Amino acid sequence: MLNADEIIAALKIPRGRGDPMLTVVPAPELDSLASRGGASIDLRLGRWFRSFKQTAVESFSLVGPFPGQPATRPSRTRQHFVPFGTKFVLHPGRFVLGATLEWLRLSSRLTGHVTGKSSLGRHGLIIETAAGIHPGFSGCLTLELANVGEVPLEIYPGMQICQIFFHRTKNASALAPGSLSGSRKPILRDPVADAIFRKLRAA
Amino acid sequence: MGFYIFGEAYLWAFEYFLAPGNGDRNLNYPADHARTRYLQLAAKEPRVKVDPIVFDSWRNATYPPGHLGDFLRIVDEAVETAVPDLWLKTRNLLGKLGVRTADARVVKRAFDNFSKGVPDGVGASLSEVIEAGWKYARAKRELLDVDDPNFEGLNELMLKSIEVSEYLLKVQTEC
Repeated sequence: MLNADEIIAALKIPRGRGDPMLTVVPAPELDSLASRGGASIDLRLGRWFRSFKQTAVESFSLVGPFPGQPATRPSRTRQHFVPFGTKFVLHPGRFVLGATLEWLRLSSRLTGHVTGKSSLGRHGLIIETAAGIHPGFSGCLTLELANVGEVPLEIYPGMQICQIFFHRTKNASALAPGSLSGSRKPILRDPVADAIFRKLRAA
Repeated sequence: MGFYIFGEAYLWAFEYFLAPGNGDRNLNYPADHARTRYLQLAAKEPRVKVDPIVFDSWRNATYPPGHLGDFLRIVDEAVETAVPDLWLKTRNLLGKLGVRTADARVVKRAFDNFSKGVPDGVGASLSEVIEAGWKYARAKRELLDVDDPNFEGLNELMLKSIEVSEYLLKVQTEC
């Protein structure tokens, strides 16, 4: 795992050697990172949210549709844009997708994992735990936010919401350049079953 | 005003969205080929290096027959006479109002960031982000096609750059 000095070094453009190992936009406060001496960067909450509507759908398959059977429908969602300075209220038992304000780009030599902040978790706000970020990732991180507490929680774009730890990958190959793949909003893709599961299902 | 604020990007957007057509004279605007001439005139002062392809395909206007055609010719000639002075007055007024034009160094920096697949993160104006985006899209010709998978990616980078600029403006103002 990278320590504070190594994270700071990863953010710097290597002299005459192209791209930095890590890009974070907007950049974290390096002085604070160095003085804190931790091993993570705090990330802030972005302005886009996707909530799930109440639905009469009986259930939704998390392995995608089966051949010859009708596809199940996911909950309908609604996108929200919350300006800086205004709040989003997450009620007890509700779940919403958010995104980090920061856009991250990890080189092929770096991976990361995201955890919530314990100071928020103790009030009932659960943030995606130990989510792995693959080498070469580019974009804002989608966060799964849930209120498991007893009172509605106010969350604000720009507040510190989670932290990311970094690890080096060994023998990494270079990334293919030129692909623009990131997103600044929460991403919600339909799940798809893998080949082995499809065989198990068919057996 | 569009050219003053968005510079070269305005010319590219003009060509992309209006698309050189058959030369029919639109009654609501000066003839398209005349408008491109005015933009070329504007580009001389301040000097903006323009890709000649932007102006290549425009055709002279076809005027409708009869009195309407005569009337439109007179209107076009009057507009053409007024344009140089109008451009000078517009520049002076916007300059006095403190309206910023794009900084070429910032445009270059944003372009370089887009090339690396990251948004600009130091603070760029709307016109600088848009100009950098247009430059990048034109450098990668396929990005002018909305069906290209990277088209949306470039949009995301540009919009995130604008969002980050707004964030930095608020943070720096309020601290």
